[in-house]
Amino acid sequence: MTDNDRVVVSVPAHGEYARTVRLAAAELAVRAGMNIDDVDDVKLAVDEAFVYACERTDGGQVTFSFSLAEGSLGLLVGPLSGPCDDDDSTEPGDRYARFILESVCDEYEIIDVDGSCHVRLLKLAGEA
Amino acid sequence: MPAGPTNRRRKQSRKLVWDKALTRELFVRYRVDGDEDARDELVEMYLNLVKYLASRFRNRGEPIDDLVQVGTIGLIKAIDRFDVARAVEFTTYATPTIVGELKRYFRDKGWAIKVPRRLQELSFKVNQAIDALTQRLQRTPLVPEIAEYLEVTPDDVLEALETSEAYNFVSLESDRNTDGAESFSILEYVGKDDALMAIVEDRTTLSAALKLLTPQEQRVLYLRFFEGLTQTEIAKQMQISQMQVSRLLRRTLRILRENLVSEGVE
Repeated sequence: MTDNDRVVVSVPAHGEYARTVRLAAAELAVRAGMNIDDVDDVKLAVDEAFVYACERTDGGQVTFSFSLAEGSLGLLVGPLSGPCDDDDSTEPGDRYARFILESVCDEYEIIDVDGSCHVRLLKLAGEA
Repeated sequence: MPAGPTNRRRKQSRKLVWDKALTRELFVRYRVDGDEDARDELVEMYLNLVKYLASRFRNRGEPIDDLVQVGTIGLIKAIDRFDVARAVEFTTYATPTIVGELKRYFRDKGWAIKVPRRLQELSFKVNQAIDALTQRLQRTPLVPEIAEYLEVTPDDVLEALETSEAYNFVSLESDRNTDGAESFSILEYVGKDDALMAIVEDRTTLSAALKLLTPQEQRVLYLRFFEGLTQTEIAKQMQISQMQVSRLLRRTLRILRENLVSEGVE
């Protein structure tokens, strides 16, 4: 593994594909040297990000771009429809996703990438 | 006669059955006067909705009567949670709850039977290995360490961790009965400005969703998201395995998501 290897998984925005992405994410988290607690956090984060993305995608595909380094796993999920001002959102779905993602990841933000909205997450390996 | 007009007429007559004014009156009788008969009448009145929604799942190999029964549980939940003061029609409110209940039924049933014996055994061994290694290393183990300990591949371990949530579903249900003595309620710890509180509009909605969780599930939720403990730390404190904590968390979040927000993932 070199630093910042990129792995991209693109799946239809249907709940049944969550497992596909979850397994890929878990495998990558192991590669990044994470312990089982962190691997589980990554799985929870992917689940939540998946639901969030499905709610904000008009059908079509959702792309999960992982960036992998020793001790860290970055993830960019998108593209999402709608405005990029997540912090102001009062939608229960947005607030719930924020609550879970902020708790299980080290960094969470909604950012604009090439004119469309994405969820950006970063999980760092804890003790090992 | 062409199919179109007939359908339309049928739809109209259904609308008449779901009389808005009568629905409202029944809800007032049930909520304000505590009239249980009114609740039964509501169930009866909306049974057609349950039957209709259940029929959408009829090709999945389950008897329609069972599906109607499962859907009725969803209907009752919806009746108990519906806020009459909101400007939402009851059918709009109840439909996702009923569909959610049906989906959960299929998912749980599917999980409970699909897992091969090999994985069940491996899952059990992984569980034991996590405990043994946590003790020996005095920290949370890595997946390759568990794999080495059991002489299997890391992928096997990951697969076992993923499926462990599945086959143990039945035992989770039995936990529900045994932890009744525990009286932990997360509501006591959730303040007005808490993140969890901020997700829903009012305490009643949150309280209804939390009621679907066992005290054990509520405690895991609290320790993970409010105290910020890791799964291994929670396992130690609650004297259960890390895998159990993992399962409880997944399940807890699924229930909350389905009842506070919308449908979940599979």
